[in-house]
Amino acid sequence: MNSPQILERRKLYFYTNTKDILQRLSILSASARYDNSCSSSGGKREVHPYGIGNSHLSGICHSWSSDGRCISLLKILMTNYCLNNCKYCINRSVNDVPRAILTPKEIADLTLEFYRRNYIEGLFLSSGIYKNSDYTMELMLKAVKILRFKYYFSGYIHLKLIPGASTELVKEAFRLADRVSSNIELPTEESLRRLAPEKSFSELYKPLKIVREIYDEKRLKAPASTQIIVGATPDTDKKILKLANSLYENKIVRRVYYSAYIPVNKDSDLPAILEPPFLREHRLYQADWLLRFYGFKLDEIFEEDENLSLRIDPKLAWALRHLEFFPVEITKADYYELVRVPGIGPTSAKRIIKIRKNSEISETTLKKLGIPLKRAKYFITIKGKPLAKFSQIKDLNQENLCLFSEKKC
Amino acid sequence: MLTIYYDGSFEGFLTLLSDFILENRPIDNIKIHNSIFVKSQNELFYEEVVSQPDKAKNFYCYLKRNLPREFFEKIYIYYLCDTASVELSLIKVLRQIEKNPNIWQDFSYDEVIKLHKAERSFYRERHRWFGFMRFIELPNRVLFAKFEPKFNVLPKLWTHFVRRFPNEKIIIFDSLRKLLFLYKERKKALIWVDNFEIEFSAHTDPFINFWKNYFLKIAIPERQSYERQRSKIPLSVRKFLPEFWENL
Ligand code: SF4
Repeated sequence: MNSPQILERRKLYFYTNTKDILQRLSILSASARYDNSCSSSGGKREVHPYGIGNSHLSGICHSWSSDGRCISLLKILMTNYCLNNCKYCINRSVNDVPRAILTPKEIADLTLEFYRRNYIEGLFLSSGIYKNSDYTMELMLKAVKILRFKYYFSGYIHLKLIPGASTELVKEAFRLADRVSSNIELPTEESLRRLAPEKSFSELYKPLKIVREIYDEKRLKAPASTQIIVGATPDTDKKILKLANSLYENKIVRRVYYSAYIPVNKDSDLPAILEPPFLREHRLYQADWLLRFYGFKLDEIFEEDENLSLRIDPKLAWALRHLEFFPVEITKADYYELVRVPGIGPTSAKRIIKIRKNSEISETTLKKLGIPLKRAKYFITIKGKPLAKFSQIKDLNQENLCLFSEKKC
Repeated sequence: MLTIYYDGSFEGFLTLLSDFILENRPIDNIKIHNSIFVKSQNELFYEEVVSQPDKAKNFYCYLKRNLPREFFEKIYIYYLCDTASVELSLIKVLRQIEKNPNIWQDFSYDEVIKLHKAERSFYRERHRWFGFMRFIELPNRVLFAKFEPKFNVLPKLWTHFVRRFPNEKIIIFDSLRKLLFLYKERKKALIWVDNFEIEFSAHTDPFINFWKNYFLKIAIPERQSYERQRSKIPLSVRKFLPEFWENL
């Protein structure tokens, strides 16, 4: 454990170098912010007797930044120097932006001190490619080793696997971290070739495959994740979700993150857009949840169109195409029938099943318990009685469709 | 209308329940207040329940013997939901439990719904403070945090921090209820105090500035949404979060 002298020395170091560290911290956190794959749930570490930290299974948000996103980890790059020239990335080699590097010890110390003050759940460490892939991965691993072996830190650590890093280093990263990831970035080889010429599908997959192989729990998805950029190429939602679905089915990753393309560079290969496709990103997340938690199949989501509707969410869209499935009887339906009802998610479905074991279900009970029925009421019956006129949804027109849309019409 | 005040301690809470359950006091036309939050206004009809440790203990044993275990364990949580005004609902449910042992899980009964909702928001509030609690390092390396939760979550919150930081010295102060938690070398104490002030200067902790800076830089400008941020971090808790403090 840390002796008082070490702690004092550390504090002194940060005092005397405040300005310089602040500057580098600014550069390296600003360059890390576009990576979306940052959640702290799913960790199971217990604290070391001489150490600090554990992780909370359900994940904890410590703050929300001004973009409304949860902050749970110190998300930072080791360095934003990069040899590669991915066209969508702010850190690409040809960009004239301020560059910085933090030492492994500085990263470890910042993580530990942020953690002690309960600012964060742990560390999310990524990096540009500095000198070469192995060298970069080793620098990152050094920071993690200081945390794990010197400070006995058992908090959450997410490590980005650097494409092209050797199998040994990937294995080591996986052993030390709670979660690892390698961003596939674009849904097709062709798009990748155009926008990230130094990268290839096989290189980006490789670390994920190594993790899959060494993860003991073969039945489960590996504790790895990936990110796909949405809207930088003409690829359709179906193409993107097909890729995600195959990653889930093959248990390669536990989560796929989608990231709306935000133009930060000018390049003739990049699309000119007025506004980043945030709503499209949101719809992809909704559809992704349908695949993972609602028992939907990919083909059910894309029965008519290759792209998700922006106007209504994919579950409502499915419900409107399948009115024959409704109404669902709340007092009898099983979990998978309940979650098909627009407005009823896994939490409400589980609550309904629990409540009806001991209580009579009525519209008032559900309302009083805070189970929202605003959307669900068109699709359900309670003890055979409809809560709204079912016929209302049969002849939907533009006007009453607004009833279901999240945005006010 | 009779207004009854109890002192906000668990013993006071149990003494109050005992009066109504074992001594069968009438519940019509009464109001119950926790005097930590609502002080007596010298109303025409008011009464103060004086905590009686023996009575409270006996009643606690009585509940343990007579309630289903799962429900018994919730009694303490209902006590901790101290601003939810659920005392009367609990009394009503407890009164019927002899006749109907399953009533505490029957959601067609309004009082049960009230208790259930309070319990859920208690755990939600506790979870929020897992994240929002902010420690400041005092010069002797003690970690100090002050907060004002909606419910009395500290008795169910400190274990989280002690488990996480077993080798730290920790002080947590609920300044609304004046409840203080102290921890050092595996010894701990949770005590009511009249007041507790610690003098510190945020300047002595360089990490506050690093954190504030990180907090600003990690936001994606193109996604700015103060509205969403506000819905997640109400203004009332911001005074406890250094990332919202004015520049030092
Ligand atoms: S390798 Fe990563 S950091 Fe480097 S340019 Fe590509 S996306 Fe950016």
